[in-house]
Amino acid sequence: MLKTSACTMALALSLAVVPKAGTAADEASQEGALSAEGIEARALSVTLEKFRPRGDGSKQARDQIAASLPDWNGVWENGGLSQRVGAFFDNATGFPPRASGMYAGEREHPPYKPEYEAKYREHLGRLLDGYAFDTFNYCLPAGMPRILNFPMAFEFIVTPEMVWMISEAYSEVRRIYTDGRGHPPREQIVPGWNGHSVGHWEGDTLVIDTVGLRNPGTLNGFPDQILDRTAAFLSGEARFIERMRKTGPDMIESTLVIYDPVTLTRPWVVRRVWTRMAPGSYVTDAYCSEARSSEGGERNPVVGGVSQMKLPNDPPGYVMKADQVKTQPKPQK
Amino acid sequence: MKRFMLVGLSLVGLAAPALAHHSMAMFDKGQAIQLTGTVKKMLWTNPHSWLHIMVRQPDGSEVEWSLESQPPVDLLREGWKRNSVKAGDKVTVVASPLKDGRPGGSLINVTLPDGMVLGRPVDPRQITQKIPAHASK
Repeated sequence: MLKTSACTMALALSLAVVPKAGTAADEASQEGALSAEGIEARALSVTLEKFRPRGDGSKQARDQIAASLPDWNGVWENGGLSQRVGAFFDNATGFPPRASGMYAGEREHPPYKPEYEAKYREHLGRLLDGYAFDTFNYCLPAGMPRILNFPMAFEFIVTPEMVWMISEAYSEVRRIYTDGRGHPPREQIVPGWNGHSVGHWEGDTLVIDTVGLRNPGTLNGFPDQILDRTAAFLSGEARFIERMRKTGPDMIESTLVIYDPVTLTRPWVVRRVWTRMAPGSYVTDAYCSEARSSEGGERNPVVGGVSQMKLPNDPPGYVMKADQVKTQPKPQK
Repeated sequence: MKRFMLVGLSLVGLAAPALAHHSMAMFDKGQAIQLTGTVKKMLWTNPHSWLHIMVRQPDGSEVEWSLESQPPVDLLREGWKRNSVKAGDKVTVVASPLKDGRPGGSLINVTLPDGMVLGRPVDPRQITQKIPAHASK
């Protein structure tokens, strides 16, 4: 196919920002015991080698591919009964352990460069001061990688050409092209909240490569594409390599490797899990912006950088101030 | 990795907190106040459902408390029904109050007239304030 060399070139260009992979991936051949370096080497090697269109375009070829795809039907819940999921993006490094990650003073530990660790601490300080600059407060989308951390239900639509990940929250859709294409050249990618994702199947494992995040703008002076309620963040240069597969009849596990040469000192490995919900479960459409149409108008506007809670009998013009909602710091590791 | 046979919606108890579309900093999470009153209305809306109850003050007047809760889909998956609370029901709720002292808070649980508790149970010893003060339990 003519597209192959263009794909490879596009990959070569888009790989320019990714740090060089280590060559010693032998010890990484064991499932479930991959070091960060091993995952990186393995992921990069497959993205370079394996992007080829599948089949000859005939219906038989397509049917054969479809028959080989795993069953990801059903409705899935982020996290699982055996893994308490907080709002931390990376539960493994969240502190306090297994905390919700929703309250100021709780944080995780991305492998930030010193200047970005300082920025993260600044965010945490501002949260403690009562300021609300999370994009969620403005009903903006989650995007990648935050969509992976939505607490609500998910659907995975798997076809030979594409995989769709549909989140119940805001009905956000993440598209993963598995038709053999690579990424467009960097200068042609339309930056987006979810970026541009391409993937291929290795048996029952979906390997996904995502680039093309919109360069974060700022919201109230803070990056407006953040990972979680602790306001951890990445740059627009972030790239994600994921491996997703079922680890049981009712569980999908994803190993995500985040490369961000701007903010991170090394690849950041995060594991996520989805659990299948009871048969008959269905996905609703939960929209943040409904709050604006509910009785009494917007109940939780942001005024002066501070989240409000409007009550029916508020005195006219009443506004909560940041110093009213200051939070006592919790112990930080 | 354990296998999970999910039977019935009740097992989909939240492993993760529902989306809170604003900072929780406005609530005093160190307090758990208990309110006893009559349901004025329940609003099923995203991103937060709202339970409004009328609570009697010592001087006999009534104050409308607004308790914010989770998106409808999360409540329903936790065992709520659309008619679990109705206007006129006498209920007891536990909530984290607003830090600024206004009659509002983040709903932790509600005890229905028939005694059923919806939401996260709270040890009675952790209740920091009761309104009205003489309310039992």
